[in-house]
Amino acid sequence: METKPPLYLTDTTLRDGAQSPGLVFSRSEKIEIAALLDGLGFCVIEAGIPAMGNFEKEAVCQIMDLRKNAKIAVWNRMSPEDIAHSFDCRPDVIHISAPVSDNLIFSVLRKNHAWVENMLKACVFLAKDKGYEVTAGFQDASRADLFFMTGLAQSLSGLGVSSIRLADTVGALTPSAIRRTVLHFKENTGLPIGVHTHNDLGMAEATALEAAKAGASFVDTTLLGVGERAGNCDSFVFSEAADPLFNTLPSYRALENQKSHIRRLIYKE
Amino acid sequence: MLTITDAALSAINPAIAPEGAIREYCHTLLDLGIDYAEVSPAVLPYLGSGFDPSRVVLRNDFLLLHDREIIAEITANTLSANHGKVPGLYLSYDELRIIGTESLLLSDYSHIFAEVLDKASLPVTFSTKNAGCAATALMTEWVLSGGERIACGFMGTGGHAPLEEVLLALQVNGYPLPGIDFTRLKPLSELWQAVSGRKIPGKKPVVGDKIFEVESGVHIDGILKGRGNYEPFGPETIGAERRFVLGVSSGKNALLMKLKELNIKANTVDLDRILRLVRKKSMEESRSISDAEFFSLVSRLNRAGTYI
Repeated sequence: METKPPLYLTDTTLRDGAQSPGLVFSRSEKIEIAALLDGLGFCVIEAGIPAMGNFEKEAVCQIMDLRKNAKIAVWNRMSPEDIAHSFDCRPDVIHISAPVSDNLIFSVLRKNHAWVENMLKACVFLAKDKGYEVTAGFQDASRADLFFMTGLAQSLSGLGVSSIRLADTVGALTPSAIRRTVLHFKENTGLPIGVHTHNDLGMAEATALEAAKAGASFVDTTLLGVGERAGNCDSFVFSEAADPLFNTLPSYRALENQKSHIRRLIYKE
Repeated sequence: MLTITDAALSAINPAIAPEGAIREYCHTLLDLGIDYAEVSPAVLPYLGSGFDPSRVVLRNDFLLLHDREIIAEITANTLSANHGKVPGLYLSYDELRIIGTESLLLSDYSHIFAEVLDKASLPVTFSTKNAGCAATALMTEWVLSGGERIACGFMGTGGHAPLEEVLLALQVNGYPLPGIDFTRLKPLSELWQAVSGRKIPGKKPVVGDKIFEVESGVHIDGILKGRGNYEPFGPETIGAERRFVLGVSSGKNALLMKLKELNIKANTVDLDRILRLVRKKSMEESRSISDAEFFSLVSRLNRAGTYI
């Protein structure tokens, strides 16, 4: 039998999922969810945003203490202050999210491309200097300039960033558009690519699957698709859809075995 | 111009629908800008005499009729095996409807679509059955590949691609839909609930009640600085409203929005204290804070003598 290529699911239930209005996890619930994700075989668990405050930091520290196999990642805005907060948690991975669309750079931040590149490089350097594994996220990548993004990725590669995650922040991408983007990255950078999709148009899983077909190595998911607006890429739906082509880690079967347990943890049913 | 059929009424039981709801659903479909309502024989009498029969596609066991034209159905897999060429058997019909399933997304569907569109000698409509998470994506890709006829089902009824998702996916990706009045989607949602006897989940893409709730501080800031920074379309597009919700991750901006919404003057409230109370209550209750609860927190704080 032909072996299917591996495809790694990276969980962001505790970070992006927890941004969903009305979804609140206590510290012990966060720790329980992280332990479950670890046991299921997720290679990366995005555990939170240390800059949010002591409550979040303490939860991340405890998750770090208890983790067995998964790498624990923390999310940072592109700011030295955020990264300093992350150092307090001593995570496995420091993820730095940079706005890359002109919409975010010019109208929200009122900055320019050069500022983003310099700031991102400075932030990556800070974390690398302390010996951390660093991954970079490109926020609103679906509406950003491809050449600006790959140029940025090339300079980050030189700084030792281990992967780039393309975020379809507004959930607007079609499968063919994400295919073109991922192929462009594969041709122009040597870095492994991850994708982060939202379900605003009901295409979170389909676009993530198309990205994997085009060569993405990591897919961001949340348990049961929890997340802001119409939610994120659902690890159950995605692993089932991707199963004929990929050996997803964790597998659909492993997730399905824990479904009722997960429903209890997330929805407190 | 895109020709759109909504097939939701071919897969519902009309006996459970309140009187007049099916008729109204169909009229709202036309107001939305949909070309045809596909219905089962059981639903047909419920449309009423005022409904234009030329806008109806009737679904019998295998074939569909509209204006005496016969539409043949063929699976995308059959077409794909035939290199996109329509088998001769089907060429005597007036129109062809292709049915895609989830497995189509695993293949090189762009190539299959291009072949079908290139070779078809009769009008071709694309639809899906049991396409799960692939349905909207396949339908959107079909249209972006040049397909001009689609059959969807509002809310994914009957295994079709959800009409509301396909319309928004096309609009957000720049496909012109001049005949579509998107604001009809909200009223159509209400009617669909009546007709189907089912409730639309809060987080359902496009028409869920909770998709325009915003809590997190960063995003509220983004929305204040310009819509479209954190969502593909605003609530006004589909005739809905945005709701700001307070909870554990709310910041001062969220608090100020809520105060404005409830007509409470910000200078009568100790923002830091009320924010701490909101976060604490949200954490204790494991959910977001309702407007009534927020109002009572503000009144309690003010009664305690802080700002009176």
